[in-house]
Amino acid sequence: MGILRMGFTVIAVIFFVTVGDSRAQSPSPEEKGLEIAKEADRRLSGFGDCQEIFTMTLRDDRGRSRVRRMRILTLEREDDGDWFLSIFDEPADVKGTAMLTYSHTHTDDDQWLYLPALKRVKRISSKKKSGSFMGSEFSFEDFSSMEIEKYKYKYLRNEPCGDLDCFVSEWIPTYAYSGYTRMMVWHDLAEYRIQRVDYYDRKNKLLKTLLVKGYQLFDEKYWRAMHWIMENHQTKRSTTLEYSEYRFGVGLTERDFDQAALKRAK
Amino acid sequence: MNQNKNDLGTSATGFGRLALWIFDHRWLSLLLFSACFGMGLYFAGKVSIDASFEAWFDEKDRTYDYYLEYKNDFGSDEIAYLLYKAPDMPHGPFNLEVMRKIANLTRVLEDEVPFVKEVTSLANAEFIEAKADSIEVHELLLDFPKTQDELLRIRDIVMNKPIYVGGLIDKDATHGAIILEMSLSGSDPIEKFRLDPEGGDGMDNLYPQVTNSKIDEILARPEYEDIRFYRIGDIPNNSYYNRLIKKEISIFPLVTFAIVGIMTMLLFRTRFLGFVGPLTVVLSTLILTLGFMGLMGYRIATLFMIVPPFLTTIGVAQSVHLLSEFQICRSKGMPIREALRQTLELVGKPCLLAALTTAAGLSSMVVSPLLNFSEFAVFGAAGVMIAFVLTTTLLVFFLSFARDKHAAATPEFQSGGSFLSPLLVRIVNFDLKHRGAIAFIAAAIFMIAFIGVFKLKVDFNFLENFKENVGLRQDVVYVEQVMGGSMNAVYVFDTGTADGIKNSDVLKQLEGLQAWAEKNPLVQKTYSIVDVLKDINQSFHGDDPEYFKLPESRELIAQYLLMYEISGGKELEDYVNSDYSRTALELRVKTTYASRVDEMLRQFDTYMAEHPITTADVKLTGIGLLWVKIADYIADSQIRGYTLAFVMIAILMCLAFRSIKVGMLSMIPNLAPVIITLGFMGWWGMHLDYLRLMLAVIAIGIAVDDTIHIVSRIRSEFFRCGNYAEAIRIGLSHVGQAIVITSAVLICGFLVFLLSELAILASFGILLAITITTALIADLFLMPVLILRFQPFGKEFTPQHSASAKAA
Repeated sequence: MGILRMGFTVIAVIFFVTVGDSRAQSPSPEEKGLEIAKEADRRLSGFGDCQEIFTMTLRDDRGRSRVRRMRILTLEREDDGDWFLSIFDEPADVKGTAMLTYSHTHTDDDQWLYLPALKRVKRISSKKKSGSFMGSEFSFEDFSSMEIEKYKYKYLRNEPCGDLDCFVSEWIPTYAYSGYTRMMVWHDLAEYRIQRVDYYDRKNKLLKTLLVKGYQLFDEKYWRAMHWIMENHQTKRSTTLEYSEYRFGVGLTERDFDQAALKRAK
Repeated sequence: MNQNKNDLGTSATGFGRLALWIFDHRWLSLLLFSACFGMGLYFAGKVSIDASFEAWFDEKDRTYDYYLEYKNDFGSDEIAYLLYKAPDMPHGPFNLEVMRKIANLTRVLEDEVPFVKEVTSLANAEFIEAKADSIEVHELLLDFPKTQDELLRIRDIVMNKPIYVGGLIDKDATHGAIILEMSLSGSDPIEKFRLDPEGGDGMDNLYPQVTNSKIDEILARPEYEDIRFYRIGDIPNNSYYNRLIKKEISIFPLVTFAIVGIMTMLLFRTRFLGFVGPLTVVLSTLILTLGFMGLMGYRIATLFMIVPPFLTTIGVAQSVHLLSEFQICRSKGMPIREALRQTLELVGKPCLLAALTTAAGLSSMVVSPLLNFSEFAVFGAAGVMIAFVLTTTLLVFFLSFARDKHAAATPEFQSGGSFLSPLLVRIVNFDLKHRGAIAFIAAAIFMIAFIGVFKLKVDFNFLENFKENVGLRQDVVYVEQVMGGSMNAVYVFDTGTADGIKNSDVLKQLEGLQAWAEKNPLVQKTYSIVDVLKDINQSFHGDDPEYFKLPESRELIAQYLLMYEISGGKELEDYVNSDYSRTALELRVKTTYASRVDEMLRQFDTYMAEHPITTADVKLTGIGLLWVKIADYIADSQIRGYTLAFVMIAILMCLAFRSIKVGMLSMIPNLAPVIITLGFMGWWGMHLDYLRLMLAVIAIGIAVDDTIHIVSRIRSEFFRCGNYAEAIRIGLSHVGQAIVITSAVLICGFLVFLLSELAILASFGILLAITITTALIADLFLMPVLILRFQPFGKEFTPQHSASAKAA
């Protein structure tokens, strides 16, 4: 599973929209919620491959921060989850550490890690979904491969969200051991981009809020957000993700995502 | 010499005027009282109960500040620890059915128990395991074994993980444990404690009671009936304490009043007003004292438990003096208005002086750095003064309704205790006849006791707070037998820079201290980042035991930690702060006496002096240290508080009798009982815990009341007759009965503490009763001898009327 997902998967986890059915008989809230999710997913697909620079800043309740910077390479897969290669550049003591992830929609991800200090590759296997992702306020399931069947959807209402108008839907995880009872998801009417997500813990108390900002259009097709802020209301900690230098269609192939590539990555 | 000198001074007229005003404005008085009572009730409703550890410390306290900083870095350390066993099931905790139930229970606890941050059991503990070319980070819950054999294979893995043995599983694999970590701690604001934000501050809506109740309810469900649970930790402890305080502060005043009421009825043959009046005074005193606490923002903590019986007894004792005098006036045929005036003029000032000395004794503890004591000093003293004010106002209001007819024939309150007269006469004769022997015996006892005082140690043991039959104590004893210690001491290594603890030199020094700590017999288990790194290193090298050691380079340490985080590992959050500048070495220590923990910590200091930690600033914190600090503070308070109490009361006595000589002499029979009780404790090997600490200041404040009455009366008689022996004979025979009975009332009142589930409170009650008994003996035997010896009121003289008679 991967860091890589950040660029996408959060989005991937997030949205999908109805397009064509606005003319049909007015759908039920559940149907409309599902349609929004599907459309959001469709609009995130079809990019082929891309790479970007990703900076994660972890802040504690006293404002102390830690920064991690990495490069992420992504290869889109049609029948399964995407492949990601993450190479750490900062902090200095983990520079060159690389992680390869084959994400899967139906089974656990495959993951390999290269530690330059030992010059060895190890396969890592973890089934944990609700745990913290790299010590951040994001959890693994926030980044896991999107699969429509993993949630139940319910469209609730339209309402303004900042300068935009948004659909507001409720998503309820249907897979085992989720850390959430539900999520409230806002995405804009015009482009079905995620704008905000409220996460409710297993006691149905507001746990976290994700705000997504700074959308940019790449290749006149792909909307990508540059700025993600996840705030944990219970611990008062937050994590910021900054994306930069997005490049689509750079010609990445499967050879760039094998175990040998892990060692080559610097 | 002014032979008509009035001991009560000029303010007696003031008290008399007060009585007349209340009589003439009864309904206005009632209105004023009702207004005060209403305000008291309002503020009393704002007082919450907090028996947590945090209630002991002032936020400005440096030791406590370190502790808060530690909690801020590593999260709340409050937990509920559930030990379990399934004796009827093969393989105990590793029985497939039992493990399935524990997995389910873990999930249910996490989902349903309020204010829980995380629940950890064998079912969801993370395991880093080497498999061929991969490292597997897994939880039983996520990949639950399908067969018993599979689970037994996992048992072998678990039993080889030192980090879990002694924590989640005992070394014999017969007991498992579930740890519930809390998102709150006692130092958080009360607004966060409410389960229902609009549900108010009733105990059943507040943390930790709601948390504990939910745990109890879940464990009582039928699906877990074949599993036996033992509960310890902050949640059961604090919740138990809070509920106990609520229960005992509700019951104790009633029991105290019932006992004291029955005694006064039997001894003084009181009737309706003599019973209802003091009852109303006492209950109102308690409400207004709570109101005062609410106004000041104080919380009800453990020490408050002694307040209701204490104020009840004080209130009744003051009421007895007033009622007694009132009845004497009535028996002389005075009308109610005049009887009230005379009563208050006579007893107003002695009651004020008695209240002031008691309050002074209590308020001496305001110097304590422990919040529990310093707050108790203020609201305890305020309670005593409230009792005095209500006795001289509210009780007067009640007595103003006494029937005017048949005053002498149908007394509301009749002086009694005449059966004591022959005994008192014999005591006086004995005093006069054996003054030398009494002085010698008293001096000998005092000296023996004085030596014993130096044997007295300030110490306490959490376990000994409770009587042996209390379930909480039994559970702690059992868990400690099975798992080792349940108390912690923490060394925080602060490198001062982000990522500083990834430095291998820091970790090596931490490892050295940890290895040395494990050799200490009190230390049952240690935890640190070193354990996790060794575990990862071993797993990364195919579980080769050779690699169960710290990585050599900073890069590898950093990369292992990154791998751990990427894998979703969470255990480290308890030992490393968010920017990796600090790390904690946690020592699980046996629950024992604070002095033993102190001794252990001093050994650690010696080690660190010999092996200085050069790479980080090391601070000690944790509950274990706070215990030691409490003991230190008690020792400190003991010296300063006792001195202050003695000085304040001595000054009051000197002022009251307008004579330094009389004042200081009066202090001897008050100081002696305290020294004798403390000396007895010292010789007996008893230690001074946080309740017994208050024995001296409470006892000296109360004991002095009787001395005031005795000295005052003897002095008065001396000025009349001019002869010390005669003055003592007459004075003691008059005032002795009241003093014996008041002391009996006090003793019975404090023996109510025997009913408490807290062993320390019961022993406090006994010791206080012993001190008051000793004080009574000192007043009856030693005080007269001292007066005879030192003649504090001047030289003996022949009264004018006798001289005139002789001349005639």
